[in-house]
Amino acid sequence: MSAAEILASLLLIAGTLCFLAGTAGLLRFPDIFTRLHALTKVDNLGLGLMALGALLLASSMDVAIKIVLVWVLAMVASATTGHLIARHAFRGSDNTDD
Amino acid sequence: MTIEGAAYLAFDLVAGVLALALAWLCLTAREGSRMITLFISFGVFVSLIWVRLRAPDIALAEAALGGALTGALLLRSRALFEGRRFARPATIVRLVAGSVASLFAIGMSWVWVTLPPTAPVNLGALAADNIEASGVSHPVTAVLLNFRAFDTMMEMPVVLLAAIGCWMLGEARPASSPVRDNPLFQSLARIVVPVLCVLSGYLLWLGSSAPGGAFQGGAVLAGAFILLLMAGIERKLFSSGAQTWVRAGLAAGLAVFVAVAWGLGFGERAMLEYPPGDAKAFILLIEVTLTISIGLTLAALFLGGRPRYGNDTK
Repeated sequence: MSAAEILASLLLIAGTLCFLAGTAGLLRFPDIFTRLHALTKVDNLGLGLMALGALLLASSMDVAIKIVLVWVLAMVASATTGHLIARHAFRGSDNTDD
Repeated sequence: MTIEGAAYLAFDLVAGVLALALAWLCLTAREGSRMITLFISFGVFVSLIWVRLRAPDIALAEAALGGALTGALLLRSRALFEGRRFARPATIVRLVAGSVASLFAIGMSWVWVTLPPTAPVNLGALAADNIEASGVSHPVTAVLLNFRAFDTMMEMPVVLLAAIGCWMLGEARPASSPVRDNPLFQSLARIVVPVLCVLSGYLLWLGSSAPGGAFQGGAVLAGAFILLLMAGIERKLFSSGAQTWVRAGLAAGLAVFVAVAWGLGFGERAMLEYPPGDAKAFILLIEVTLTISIGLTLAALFLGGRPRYGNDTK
């Protein structure tokens, strides 16, 4: 096992632990805001660690670029939807205009 | 058994059990939104299972169409029809509709049962042997757009009729969307929509040599349209001025497919028998228009009714 493979494994395991923590938070936290906090923060970190791990194992440049793209797009989408869901919940589900 | 084999077996078992469990939970859920969420999660696991069965084409289609887009359509229908009651059709209408549908099903079953038995043919080997002549190197695309192109052509009227039927039911009601005109969501759409358009073209082009193609590309394009619709852009996309173009785009896939079939059928060839050497050009022409039409059709379904005329100023 090369150094890159060992480092990649460690990153993937760390990422999995982050996902596990995020899932536990989603299931255990009491309200929508703390659950969102668990999901958006921890999943971004988890996915980031996973992407880094996968990058180390990428066989070519275009595979590497695709992995980075997946990570960036997931971050953009997750940050935006996290904010939108929280705002919607904060203002109450009836208030839909603005 | 090697460690790798055991790991794959464990993964398969988990994916299979979870898919079944999600299907059960989805069917027994009491609340609509919970049911839809479970259905979308079910799609993710079914897609993973297709990956493990080494059918990446179906996995892509399942993830894009079966899980994501069907989920979006279900959520949209729920938002549109929540709290509305519909009059039950008259008994005679239901009886006639039921009888016609049953007779059709019985007739089709009878035809299938009474078909003369044919010698088994190894279609997979047959396709693999003739892949050189098909114009593309990916066997799934060769079958869908060349060897069995007629079947694919017959799928297009189904898709188009679904959109026409949906638009005939009534005018689109703007669903109360919390993200409509939201600047943050619109800036997300500005980043993601161009990426989705490129991805759609990439999947389409990839289809000639690797898993991908018109249906997957079209589903991604539909995702871009749906983002625009949710952000409130449909007033421009489906405005009176753009109506003709949208309708032309909806019909283009079928029209080009039929035109190619007809044009080739007039010569000495059979319908959809591409001239040798030019097969790839014909397949590409059909696939590009199919992608645009499928994308627009799915967006038209998401709209949930025909767009209103003269709504541009609102």
